[in-house]
Amino acid sequence: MFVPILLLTAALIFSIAIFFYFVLNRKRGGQVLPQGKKLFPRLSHHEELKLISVISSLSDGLIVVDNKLNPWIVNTAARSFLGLTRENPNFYDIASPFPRNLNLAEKVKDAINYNRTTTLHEVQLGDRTFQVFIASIGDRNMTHFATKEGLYSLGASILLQDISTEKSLEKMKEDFAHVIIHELRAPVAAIKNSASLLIAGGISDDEKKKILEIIHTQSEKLLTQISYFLDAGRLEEGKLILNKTQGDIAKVVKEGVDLFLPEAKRKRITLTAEIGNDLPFFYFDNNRIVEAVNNLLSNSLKYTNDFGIVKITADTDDNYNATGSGNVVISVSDNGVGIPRQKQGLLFTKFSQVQKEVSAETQKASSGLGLYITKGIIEAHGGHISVNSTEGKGTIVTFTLPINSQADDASIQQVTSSSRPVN
Amino acid sequence: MIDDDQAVLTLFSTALKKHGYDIVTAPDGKSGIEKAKTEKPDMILLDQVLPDIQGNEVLTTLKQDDATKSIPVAMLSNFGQTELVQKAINSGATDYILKYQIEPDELDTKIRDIVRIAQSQAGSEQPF
Repeated sequence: MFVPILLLTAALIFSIAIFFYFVLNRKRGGQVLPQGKKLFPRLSHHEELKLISVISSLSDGLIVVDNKLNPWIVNTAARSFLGLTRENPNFYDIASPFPRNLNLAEKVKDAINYNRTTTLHEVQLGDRTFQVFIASIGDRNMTHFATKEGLYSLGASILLQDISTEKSLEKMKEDFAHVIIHELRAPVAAIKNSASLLIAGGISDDEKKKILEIIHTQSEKLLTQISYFLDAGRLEEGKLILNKTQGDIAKVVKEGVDLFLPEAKRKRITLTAEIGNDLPFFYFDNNRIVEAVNNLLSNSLKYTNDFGIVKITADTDDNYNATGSGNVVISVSDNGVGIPRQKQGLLFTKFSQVQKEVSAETQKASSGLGLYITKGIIEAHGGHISVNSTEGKGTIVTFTLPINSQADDASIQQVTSSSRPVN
Repeated sequence: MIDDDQAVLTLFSTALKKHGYDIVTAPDGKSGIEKAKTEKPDMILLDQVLPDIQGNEVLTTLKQDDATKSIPVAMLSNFGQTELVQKAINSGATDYILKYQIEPDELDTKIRDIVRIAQSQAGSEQPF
C-alpha cells in the first residue's frame, strides 16, 4: 500500500514538472535542463521552491537523471542512503554504492531507451536494505516525448525505498518460529525418547524412575510453553483475561523468593527480599502477578553469574503514603550481565526479545515470551513496567501496580495491552 | 556428551550405557572443551545450542586444537534447517543428529557409523 502511494506521489510530482517543462517549454523538445539553471523555469520561484521542498522531504530516496545520465535531482534521502557528500554528484557517484552485479547504469539506460521499468528487490546499501524502482520519465503519460524524430525520453527516475525495518521484522518472525519449534520439540522429543527406552526395557529400576521423572517434568514444561504461546496470542488480540481478587502482594513476593532460593543456592547467588511494612491488601490477579514476579526473578537469576546478587523489593509509593491511593512498586535488581543499551528499548517486545535470545542456532533458545507477557500482565492491571540496565553491571526491572480497593466494575476484565517498546 | 538439557543427557546416557559405553557429560561449551582435552573420548555428541558458547564455536575450537581435532564430533540439534546442517558439517562435524528424530536405541549404531566414517576419513588423509 505504501509503495504505490509513494510511486503515485512521485509520478504526480513529475507529471507537474513535465507538464510545465514540456507544454510551456515545448520548443526545447527533449533537451534537458542545463546544470545550474532553474529546474522548472516556467514555474514561479515560489512554486518551484514548494515543488523542490516536496521532493526533498520525501522519506524515500529519489534520483532523477537526464537521458545522458546526468543527475537532475538527488533528494536529501537519496543523498543520505548513498552517502553522497559532493554538492553536485555525477552518475558514477550515485552508482558506486550499488552492488556492481546490478548494472545500475544499464538498467537506467533501458528505462530511457526502451521505456523499461525495473524493480530491484532487497538491494543492500551499507547496513540497510532497499527496494529500488527504475522508471523512464517523459511525456504526460509518463512514457516518452513524441517528436518528429520519434519517441524521446527525458530521462529516468530511481526511487529508493528503505525496507530495512520490514526485513528486520521478517528476521525476528523467523527467529520466533524457530523458538516455537525448539520449545515445543525439545520436551516432546524427551517424552518420546523416554517412552522408547521404557518400551525397549533392559534398564534398572533407578533408571526407570529417572525416566518417568523426565516424562513428568517435560510434560509440565510443554504445558507451560503452550500457555505462554496462548497468552502471547491473547495479548496480541487484546484478550488477556484477569481474575482479580483481594490479595496479599507481600505473600506473592515472599513465595517467589522461596521458589527460587534453591536455584540461587545452586549458583551461589545471594537472593534477598525487602518488603515494606504494612503493604495493603488490594485487588489483583494473584496467579498473573505470581507469574510476573517469577518471570522477573527467573530472568535475573538466569543472567547473573555465580556468586552474584539478586534482590527484590516491594513497597508503596509516595503517593499512596500521602493520599491513600497510589501504587505498589516492585523492583527486581541484579548485578548480572546487563542488557546492551540498544536492546533495552525493545526488551519487552515479542519479536525483539526473541531475537535477543535466539538467532536460531546461536544462543540458548527460550521462548523469550516471559517479559513480553509480564509487561502485558502489568499493563492489564493499569501498572507500568520499566528497565534500567548497564551492560556488565546489572539490571533493575521495576513495575507498579495500582492499589485498587475494588475489583473495578467486574472481577473479570478484558484488556488491551500494547506491545510498544518500554523506555 | 556436551548438552545443557539434563533430560537429553540422562536419556541418551541411559541408552548408551546399555551398550557398554562410558559416558562423560558436560553442561556447557567451556567445560565440554576442557573435558574433551582431559578425557580424550572416542567421539563427542555436541549440542548446537549451549548456554555459554555456540555449539559451532565449540566445534571449531575442538577442530583447531591438536589434542582434540581427531575426535569425531556429531552435532545434536532440534533445528533441522539445511543451512545449519551444512554449517556444522563445514565446521568439521562428522554428522548431524536431530534429537527429535533419533531413537535412543539407534544411537549405538549411529555412533559406530560416525566413528568408522571418521576413521576412514583420517586414514585417507594419511600421506603415503
